[in-house]
Amino acid sequence: MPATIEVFTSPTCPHCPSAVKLAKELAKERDDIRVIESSTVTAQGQKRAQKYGIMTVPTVLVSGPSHPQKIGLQGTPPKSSLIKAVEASLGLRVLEEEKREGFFSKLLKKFNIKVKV
Amino acid sequence: MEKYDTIIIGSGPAGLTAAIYTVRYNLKTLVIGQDFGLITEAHKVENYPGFESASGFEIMEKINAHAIKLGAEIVNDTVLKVEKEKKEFIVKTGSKKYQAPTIIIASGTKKRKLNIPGEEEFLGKGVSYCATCDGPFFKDKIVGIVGGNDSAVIAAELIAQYAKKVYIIYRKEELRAKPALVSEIKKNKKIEIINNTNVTKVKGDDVLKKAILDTGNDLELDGLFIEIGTVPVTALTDPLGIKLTSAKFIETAENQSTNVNGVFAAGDITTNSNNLRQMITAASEGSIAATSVFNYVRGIKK
Repeated sequence: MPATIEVFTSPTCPHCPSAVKLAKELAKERDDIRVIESSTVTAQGQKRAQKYGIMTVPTVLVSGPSHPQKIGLQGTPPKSSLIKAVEASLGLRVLEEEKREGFFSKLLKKFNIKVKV
Repeated sequence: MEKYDTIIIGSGPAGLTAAIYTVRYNLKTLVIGQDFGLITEAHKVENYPGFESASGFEIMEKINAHAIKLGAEIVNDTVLKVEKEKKEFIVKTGSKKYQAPTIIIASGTKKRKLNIPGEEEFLGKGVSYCATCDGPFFKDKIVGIVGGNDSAVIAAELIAQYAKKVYIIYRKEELRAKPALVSEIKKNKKIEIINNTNVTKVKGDDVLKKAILDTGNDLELDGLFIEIGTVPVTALTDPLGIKLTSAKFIETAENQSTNVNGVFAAGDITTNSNNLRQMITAASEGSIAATSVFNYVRGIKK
Protein backbone atom coordinates (compact mmCIF):
# COMPACT_ATOMS: atom_id res chain seq x y z
CA MET A 1 0.00 0.00 0.00
CA PRO A 2 1.53 3.38 -0.97
CA ALA A 3 2.10 6.48 1.12
CA THR A 4 -0.28 9.35 0.46
CA ILE A 5 0.87 12.94 0.15
CA GLU A 6 -2.11 15.29 0.41
CA VAL A 7 -1.33 18.90 -0.48
CA PHE A 8 -3.80 21.56 0.69
CA THR A 9 -3.82 24.49 -1.71
CA SER A 10 -5.78 27.49 -2.84
CA PRO A 11 -5.82 29.20 -6.26
CA THR A 12 -4.39 32.47 -4.88
CA CYS A 13 -1.56 30.79 -2.99
CA PRO A 14 1.70 31.46 -4.86
CA HIS A 15 3.72 28.85 -2.97
CA CYS A 16 1.21 26.05 -3.54
CA PRO A 17 2.21 25.09 -7.10
CA SER A 18 5.76 24.42 -5.84
CA ALA A 19 4.45 22.14 -3.11
CA VAL A 20 2.27 20.19 -5.56
CA LYS A 21 5.11 20.00 -8.09
CA LEU A 22 7.50 18.69 -5.44
CA ALA A 23 5.03 16.00 -4.34
CA LYS A 24 4.37 14.90 -7.93
CA GLU A 25 8.07 14.84 -8.80
CA LEU A 26 8.78 12.66 -5.77
CA ALA A 27 5.93 10.33 -6.72
CA LYS A 28 7.46 9.94 -10.20
CA GLU A 29 10.87 9.08 -8.73
CA ARG A 30 9.40 6.34 -6.52
CA ASP A 31 6.58 3.85 -6.96
CA ASP A 32 5.24 3.96 -3.42
CA ILE A 33 3.53 7.36 -3.30
CA ARG A 34 0.21 8.72 -4.45
CA VAL A 35 -0.53 12.45 -4.46
CA ILE A 36 -3.83 14.20 -3.76
CA GLU A 37 -4.37 17.93 -4.13
CA SER A 38 -7.11 19.31 -1.87
CA SER A 39 -8.09 22.80 -2.93
CA THR A 40 -9.49 24.74 0.01
CA VAL A 41 -11.93 26.62 -2.24
CA THR A 42 -13.86 23.42 -2.94
CA ALA A 43 -16.43 22.06 -0.51
CA GLN A 44 -14.52 18.80 -0.18
CA GLY A 45 -11.21 20.60 0.38
CA GLN A 46 -12.71 22.93 2.97
CA LYS A 47 -14.21 19.97 4.82
CA ARG A 48 -10.89 18.18 4.94
CA ALA A 49 -9.04 21.36 5.97
CA GLN A 50 -11.50 21.84 8.84
CA LYS A 51 -11.16 18.19 9.86
CA TYR A 52 -7.43 18.64 10.35
CA GLY A 53 -7.57 22.23 11.63
CA ILE A 54 -5.66 23.57 8.63
CA MET A 55 -5.61 27.37 8.36
CA THR A 56 -2.64 27.91 6.08
CA VAL A 57 -1.61 26.81 2.64
CA PRO A 58 0.33 25.04 1.43
CA THR A 59 0.06 22.37 4.09
CA VAL A 60 1.28 18.87 3.26
CA LEU A 61 -0.12 15.84 5.09
CA VAL A 62 1.71 12.55 4.67
CA SER A 63 0.13 9.26 5.69
CA GLY A 64 1.06 5.63 5.20
CA PRO A 65 0.35 2.08 6.33
CA SER A 66 3.07 2.03 8.98
CA HIS A 67 2.42 5.27 10.79
CA PRO A 68 -0.74 5.74 12.86
CA GLN A 69 -0.95 9.50 12.35
CA LYS A 70 -0.68 11.85 9.48
CA ILE A 71 2.58 13.76 9.44
CA GLY A 72 1.99 17.46 8.81
CA LEU A 73 4.37 19.90 7.12
CA GLN A 74 3.57 23.60 6.77
CA GLY A 75 4.70 25.46 3.69
CA THR A 76 6.61 23.85 0.83
CA PRO A 77 8.92 21.47 2.65
CA PRO A 78 12.51 20.83 1.58
CA LYS A 79 12.59 17.68 -0.54
CA SER A 80 14.66 15.86 2.08
CA SER A 81 11.98 16.54 4.75
CA LEU A 82 9.23 15.22 2.50
CA ILE A 83 11.26 12.09 1.79
CA LYS A 84 11.74 11.55 5.53
CA ALA A 85 7.99 11.93 6.16
CA VAL A 86 7.16 9.46 3.36
CA GLU A 87 9.70 6.92 4.61
CA ALA A 88 8.41 7.26 8.19
CA SER A 89 4.85 6.67 6.99
CA LEU A 90 6.02 3.52 5.18
CA GLY A 91 7.90 2.27 8.21
CA LEU A 92 11.29 2.70 6.53
CA ARG A 93 12.60 5.12 9.14
CA VAL A 94 11.77 6.74 12.46
CA LEU A 95 11.57 10.51 12.46
CA GLU A 96 14.10 12.23 14.71
CA GLU A 97 11.28 14.12 16.41
CA GLU A 98 9.48 10.91 17.27
CA LYS A 99 12.41 9.68 19.28
CA ARG A 100 11.71 12.48 21.72
CA GLU A 101 8.95 11.93 24.23
CA GLY A 102 5.89 14.03 23.77
CA PHE A 103 6.08 14.22 19.99
CA PHE A 104 2.69 12.66 19.40
CA SER A 105 0.89 14.83 21.89
CA LYS A 106 2.45 17.92 20.32
CA LEU A 107 1.45 16.78 16.83
CA LEU A 108 -2.09 16.02 17.96
CA LYS A 109 -2.44 19.50 19.44
CA LYS A 110 -0.98 21.30 16.43
CA PHE A 111 -2.91 19.46 13.78
CA ASN A 112 -6.01 18.23 15.53
CA ILE A 113 -5.14 14.82 14.13
CA LYS A 114 -6.50 11.79 15.90
CA VAL A 115 -4.49 8.62 16.19
CA LYS A 116 -5.85 5.95 13.88
CA VAL A 117 -5.95 2.49 15.40
CA MET B 1 28.70 13.96 -9.45
CA GLU B 2 27.15 16.15 -12.15
CA LYS B 3 29.34 19.03 -13.32
CA TYR B 4 28.26 22.43 -14.57
CA ASP B 5 29.87 25.72 -15.57
CA THR B 6 27.69 27.50 -13.05
CA ILE B 7 25.15 26.65 -10.37
CA ILE B 8 22.56 29.29 -9.54
CA ILE B 9 21.08 29.07 -6.05
CA GLY B 10 17.58 30.52 -6.10
CA SER B 11 14.86 30.48 -8.74
CA GLY B 12 13.37 33.94 -8.32
CA PRO B 13 13.75 36.87 -10.72
CA ALA B 14 17.52 37.23 -10.18
CA GLY B 15 18.30 33.53 -10.45
CA LEU B 16 16.16 32.81 -13.50
CA THR B 17 17.32 35.92 -15.37
CA ALA B 18 20.92 34.90 -14.64
CA ALA B 19 20.08 31.48 -16.10
CA ILE B 20 18.64 33.02 -19.27
CA TYR B 21 21.93 34.84 -19.78
CA THR B 22 24.31 32.01 -18.84
CA VAL B 23 22.52 29.57 -21.13
CA ARG B 24 22.77 32.03 -24.00
CA TYR B 25 26.49 32.29 -23.20
CA ASN B 26 26.58 28.50 -23.79
CA LEU B 27 27.43 27.82 -20.17
CA LYS B 28 26.13 24.55 -18.75
CA THR B 29 23.71 25.90 -16.17
CA LEU B 30 21.90 24.42 -13.20
CA VAL B 31 19.35 26.36 -11.14
CA ILE B 32 18.36 24.98 -7.75
CA GLY B 33 15.42 26.61 -6.02
CA GLN B 34 12.23 25.85 -4.15
CA ASP B 35 9.91 28.41 -5.68
CA PHE B 36 9.78 31.72 -7.54
CA GLY B 37 10.64 33.81 -4.50
CA LEU B 38 8.85 36.45 -2.45
CA ILE B 39 7.60 38.31 -5.53
CA THR B 40 4.97 35.61 -5.91
CA GLU B 41 3.20 37.00 -2.86
CA ALA B 42 2.50 40.20 -4.79
CA HIS B 43 -0.99 39.68 -6.17
CA LYS B 44 -0.65 42.83 -8.28
CA VAL B 45 2.58 44.07 -9.92
CA GLU B 46 2.09 47.20 -12.01
CA ASN B 47 5.63 48.46 -12.44
CA TYR B 48 7.39 45.66 -14.31
CA PRO B 49 7.84 46.93 -17.87
CA GLY B 50 5.63 45.17 -20.38
CA PHE B 51 3.09 44.10 -17.75
CA GLU B 52 0.46 46.74 -17.02
CA SER B 53 -0.95 44.64 -14.21
CA ALA B 54 -0.14 41.04 -13.40
CA SER B 55 0.52 38.95 -10.33
CA GLY B 56 4.12 38.28 -9.37
CA PHE B 57 3.44 34.59 -9.95
CA GLU B 58 2.20 35.15 -13.52
CA ILE B 59 5.30 37.13 -14.44
CA MET B 60 7.60 34.54 -12.87
CA GLU B 61 5.87 31.73 -14.77
CA LYS B 62 6.79 33.48 -18.02
CA ILE B 63 10.39 34.05 -16.93
CA ASN B 64 10.64 30.41 -15.83
CA ALA B 65 9.26 29.17 -19.15
CA HIS B 66 11.74 31.39 -20.99
CA ALA B 67 14.69 29.97 -19.05
CA ILE B 68 13.54 26.38 -19.62
CA LYS B 69 12.98 26.96 -23.34
CA LEU B 70 16.55 28.21 -23.70
CA GLY B 71 17.85 25.07 -22.01
CA ALA B 72 18.38 25.91 -18.35
CA GLU B 73 18.17 22.89 -16.09
CA ILE B 74 16.01 23.80 -13.10
CA VAL B 75 15.77 21.55 -10.06
CA ASN B 76 13.08 21.95 -7.42
CA ASP B 77 15.12 21.38 -4.29
CA THR B 78 16.81 23.11 -1.35
CA VAL B 79 20.55 23.75 -1.19
CA LEU B 80 21.70 22.76 2.28
CA LYS B 81 25.43 23.41 1.99
CA VAL B 82 28.09 24.74 -0.38
CA GLU B 83 31.72 23.75 0.08
CA LYS B 84 34.84 24.71 -1.82
CA GLU B 85 37.21 21.93 -2.88
CA LYS B 86 40.29 23.35 -4.57
CA LYS B 87 38.84 25.47 -7.37
CA GLU B 88 35.42 23.85 -7.50
CA PHE B 89 32.25 24.40 -5.50
CA ILE B 90 30.35 21.35 -4.28
CA VAL B 91 26.66 22.20 -3.88
CA LYS B 92 24.72 19.78 -1.69
CA THR B 93 20.98 19.28 -1.42
CA GLY B 94 19.35 16.65 0.81
CA SER B 95 19.86 13.91 -1.76
CA LYS B 96 22.39 15.05 -4.39
CA LYS B 97 25.69 16.83 -4.98
CA TYR B 98 26.62 19.04 -7.89
CA GLN B 99 29.92 20.64 -8.90
CA ALA B 100 30.84 23.88 -10.67
CA PRO B 101 33.71 26.40 -10.71
CA THR B 102 31.23 29.24 -10.19
CA ILE B 103 28.05 29.84 -8.23
CA ILE B 104 25.55 32.67 -8.25
CA ILE B 105 23.79 33.14 -4.94
CA ALA B 106 20.32 34.51 -5.63
CA SER B 107 18.55 33.16 -2.58
CA GLY B 108 16.70 36.35 -1.83
CA THR B 109 15.09 37.30 1.43
CA LYS B 110 12.50 35.89 3.78
CA LYS B 111 9.85 37.57 5.87
CA ARG B 112 11.05 39.21 9.05
CA LYS B 113 9.50 37.86 12.23
CA LEU B 114 8.21 39.91 15.16
CA ASN B 115 9.84 37.50 17.62
CA ILE B 116 7.07 37.79 20.18
CA PRO B 117 5.62 35.09 22.45
CA GLY B 118 3.01 32.99 20.70
CA GLU B 119 4.16 33.89 17.18
CA GLU B 120 5.74 30.50 16.53
CA GLU B 121 3.06 28.57 18.41
CA PHE B 122 0.21 30.04 16.38
CA LEU B 123 1.94 29.95 12.99
CA GLY B 124 -0.59 28.37 10.67
CA LYS B 125 -3.19 28.66 13.43
CA GLY B 126 -3.96 32.32 12.89
CA VAL B 127 -0.49 33.81 12.45
CA SER B 128 0.63 34.13 8.84
CA TYR B 129 3.23 35.90 6.73
CA CYS B 130 1.41 35.45 3.42
CA ALA B 131 -1.82 37.33 2.70
CA THR B 132 -2.28 35.86 -0.76
CA CYS B 133 -1.87 32.35 0.67
CA ASP B 134 -4.03 32.55 3.76
CA GLY B 135 -6.37 35.53 3.32
CA PRO B 136 -9.28 33.33 2.18
CA PHE B 137 -9.25 31.39 5.48
CA PHE B 138 -10.46 34.54 7.26
CA LYS B 139 -13.79 35.10 5.55
CA ASP B 140 -16.05 37.13 7.85
CA LYS B 141 -13.36 37.11 10.55
CA ILE B 142 -11.38 39.81 12.34
CA VAL B 143 -7.80 40.19 11.24
CA GLY B 144 -4.83 42.31 12.28
CA ILE B 145 -1.88 43.25 10.10
CA VAL B 146 1.38 44.35 11.67
CA GLY B 147 3.36 46.80 9.56
CA GLY B 148 3.11 50.09 7.75
CA ASN B 149 4.90 49.54 4.45
CA ASP B 150 3.52 48.88 0.97
CA SER B 151 3.21 45.14 1.65
CA ALA B 152 1.20 45.70 4.83
CA VAL B 153 -1.20 48.09 3.13
CA ILE B 154 -1.61 45.86 0.06
CA ALA B 155 -2.22 42.89 2.38
CA ALA B 156 -4.92 44.91 4.18
CA GLU B 157 -6.65 45.72 0.92
CA LEU B 158 -6.56 42.04 -0.12
CA ILE B 159 -7.73 40.60 3.19
CA ALA B 160 -10.53 43.17 3.48
CA GLN B 161 -12.11 41.40 0.51
CA TYR B 162 -12.72 38.41 2.80
CA ALA B 163 -12.63 39.61 6.42
CA LYS B 164 -15.31 41.37 8.43
CA LYS B 165 -12.77 43.81 9.87
CA VAL B 166 -9.07 44.54 9.34
CA TYR B 167 -6.81 46.42 11.75
CA ILE B 168 -3.46 47.75 10.58
CA ILE B 169 -1.25 47.96 13.66
CA TYR B 170 1.77 50.19 13.13
CA ARG B 171 4.44 51.34 15.55
CA LYS B 172 4.72 54.91 14.21
CA GLU B 173 2.37 57.83 13.68
CA GLU B 174 2.09 57.68 9.88
CA LEU B 175 2.09 54.65 7.62
CA ARG B 176 5.14 54.76 5.35
CA ALA B 177 3.47 53.05 2.40
CA LYS B 178 3.06 55.00 -0.85
CA PRO B 179 0.50 57.78 -0.43
CA ALA B 180 -1.69 56.43 -3.24
CA LEU B 181 -1.99 53.06 -1.48
CA VAL B 182 -2.69 54.68 1.89
CA SER B 183 -5.43 56.91 0.55
CA GLU B 184 -7.13 53.87 -1.04
CA ILE B 185 -7.31 51.93 2.22
CA LYS B 186 -8.46 54.97 4.15
CA LYS B 187 -11.59 54.91 1.99
CA ASN B 188 -12.26 51.27 2.97
CA LYS B 189 -14.70 51.14 5.88
CA LYS B 190 -13.56 47.68 6.89
CA ILE B 191 -9.98 48.84 7.53
CA GLU B 192 -8.96 50.69 10.70
CA ILE B 193 -5.46 51.96 11.42
CA ILE B 194 -4.12 51.65 14.94
CA ASN B 195 -0.94 53.73 15.05
CA ASN B 196 1.83 54.24 17.61
CA THR B 197 1.20 50.67 18.77
CA ASN B 198 3.14 47.40 18.92
CA VAL B 199 1.91 43.84 19.35
CA THR B 200 3.81 42.33 22.27
CA LYS B 201 2.24 38.89 22.48
CA VAL B 202 -0.39 36.68 20.85
CA LYS B 203 -2.61 34.26 22.72
CA GLY B 204 -5.24 31.66 22.08
CA ASP B 205 -6.13 28.03 22.61
CA ASP B 206 -6.14 25.73 19.57
CA VAL B 207 -6.15 28.83 17.40
CA LEU B 208 -5.22 32.47 17.77
CA LYS B 209 -7.70 34.48 19.83
CA LYS B 210 -6.09 37.79 20.64
CA ALA B 211 -3.15 40.12 20.32
CA ILE B 212 -1.80 41.94 23.35
CA LEU B 213 -0.82 45.53 22.56
CA ASP B 214 1.74 47.72 24.29
CA THR B 215 -0.96 50.29 24.95
CA GLY B 216 -2.36 47.93 27.57
CA ASN B 217 -5.28 46.83 25.41
CA ASP B 218 -6.14 43.41 24.03
CA LEU B 219 -7.36 43.06 20.48
CA GLU B 220 -9.57 40.05 19.77
CA LEU B 221 -8.43 38.60 16.49
CA ASP B 222 -8.90 35.47 14.41
CA GLY B 223 -5.80 36.17 12.31
CA LEU B 224 -2.62 38.20 12.47
CA PHE B 225 -0.54 38.85 9.37
CA ILE B 226 3.01 40.04 9.88
CA GLU B 227 4.32 42.37 7.18
CA ILE B 228 7.36 44.12 8.66
CA GLY B 229 9.85 43.67 5.88
CA THR B 230 12.36 41.00 4.99
CA VAL B 231 15.76 39.66 6.00
CA PRO B 232 18.38 38.13 3.69
CA VAL B 233 18.68 34.35 3.37
CA THR B 234 22.38 33.92 3.98
CA ALA B 235 22.61 30.53 5.66
CA LEU B 236 25.04 29.27 3.00
CA THR B 237 27.50 32.13 3.12
CA ASP B 238 29.39 31.68 6.38
CA PRO B 239 31.17 28.41 5.53
CA LEU B 240 32.48 30.03 2.35
CA GLY B 241 33.72 33.15 4.14
CA ILE B 242 31.58 35.46 2.04
CA LYS B 243 31.64 39.02 3.31
CA LEU B 244 28.31 40.36 4.54
CA THR B 245 27.17 43.81 5.55
CA SER B 246 26.14 44.50 9.14
CA ALA B 247 22.55 43.82 8.06
CA LYS B 248 23.67 40.43 6.66
CA PHE B 249 23.31 41.24 2.96
CA ILE B 250 26.05 39.99 0.64
CA GLU B 251 28.62 42.65 -0.26
CA THR B 252 29.02 42.66 -4.02
CA ALA B 253 31.09 44.71 -6.43
CA GLU B 254 29.44 46.43 -9.39
CA ASN B 255 29.96 43.28 -11.46
CA GLN B 256 28.14 41.23 -8.77
CA SER B 257 31.32 39.43 -7.64
CA THR B 258 31.93 38.79 -3.94
CA ASN B 259 35.15 38.55 -1.96
CA VAL B 260 35.37 34.82 -2.78
CA ASN B 261 36.69 33.89 -6.22
CA GLY B 262 34.01 32.24 -8.30
CA VAL B 263 31.14 33.36 -6.07
CA PHE B 264 28.71 35.92 -7.42
CA ALA B 265 25.45 37.19 -5.97
CA ALA B 266 22.36 38.85 -7.38
CA GLY B 267 18.96 40.11 -6.34
CA ASP B 268 17.48 41.06 -2.99
CA ILE B 269 20.33 39.40 -1.13
CA THR B 270 22.79 42.08 -2.29
CA THR B 271 23.07 45.79 -1.61
CA ASN B 272 23.53 46.79 -5.24
CA SER B 273 21.04 48.76 -7.34
CA ASN B 274 21.05 51.45 -4.69
CA ASN B 275 19.23 49.07 -2.32
CA LEU B 276 16.14 49.25 -4.50
CA ARG B 277 14.76 45.75 -4.10
CA GLN B 278 12.43 45.30 -7.00
CA MET B 279 11.92 42.60 -9.59
CA ILE B 280 13.53 44.68 -12.30
CA THR B 281 16.69 45.38 -10.32
CA ALA B 282 16.90 41.70 -9.35
CA ALA B 283 16.70 40.75 -13.03
CA SER B 284 19.32 43.35 -13.90
CA GLU B 285 21.73 42.04 -11.28
CA GLY B 286 21.10 38.50 -12.50
CA SER B 287 22.19 39.47 -16.01
CA ILE B 288 25.31 41.24 -14.73
CA ALA B 289 26.25 38.29 -12.53
CA ALA B 290 25.79 35.95 -15.49
CA THR B 291 28.09 38.07 -17.65
CA SER B 292 30.71 38.10 -14.91
CA VAL B 293 30.43 34.31 -14.64
CA PHE B 294 30.93 34.02 -18.41
CA ASN B 295 34.10 36.14 -18.26
CA TYR B 296 35.35 34.18 -15.26
CA VAL B 297 34.77 30.77 -16.87
CA ARG B 298 36.33 31.97 -20.13
CA GLY B 299 39.38 32.99 -18.12
CA ILE B 300 39.61 29.51 -16.59
CA LYS B 301 39.32 27.79 -19.94
CA LYS B 302 42.13 29.79 -21.58
